[in-house]
Amino acid sequence: MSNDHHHDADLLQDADMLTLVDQESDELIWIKDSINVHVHSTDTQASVSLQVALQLAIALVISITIADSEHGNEIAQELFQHFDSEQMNKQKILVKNSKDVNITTTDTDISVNIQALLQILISLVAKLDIA
Amino acid sequence: MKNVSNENSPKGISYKVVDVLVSNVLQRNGVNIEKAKNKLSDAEKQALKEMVEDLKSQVDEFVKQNTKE
Repeated sequence: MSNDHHHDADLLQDADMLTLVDQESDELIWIKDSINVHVHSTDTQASVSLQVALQLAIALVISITIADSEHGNEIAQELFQHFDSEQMNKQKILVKNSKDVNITTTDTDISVNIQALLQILISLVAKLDIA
Repeated sequence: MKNVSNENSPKGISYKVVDVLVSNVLQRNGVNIEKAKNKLSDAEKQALKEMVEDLKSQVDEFVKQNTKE
């Protein structure tokens, strides 16, 4: 990307990469002077991987079916951008002097984003008579 | 908390809205859908179909895991 002329697609892609990093959640669970505490936390790594897999699949469908790769890249980025708003999810949980506690934390933001990406993919393949 | 299936609206994002958005993006970029359809061989269609189904089940599983309890 050190070329003289920057394509719009490159710029859009940079922006998209940044938001992906932003979507990592910040979770802190502090347990002190407690016994029998169970924590069930969303696997952020898994959800980010799934999100990337969906983005790749969308890009793949577009590049196989639609025009040249450069144009296809622009289309893919345009689709992602509609849903990739900056999503921060900060949770801080403190457990103190407690017994028998169950904690379940979820990351709703990334879950919604993943579902939106799947919908884009399903919509695309339906239009192309694939599914 | 109820599970959200992908055909329904997940937290306010309706499939119709996404569908219109996809149509709009394709249209604005001058994509000819009929032409694009013909670019795919049956084998490619089958492979893509399997890929989508696989991802769909992964997403369903993920959503299920994160909405129960």
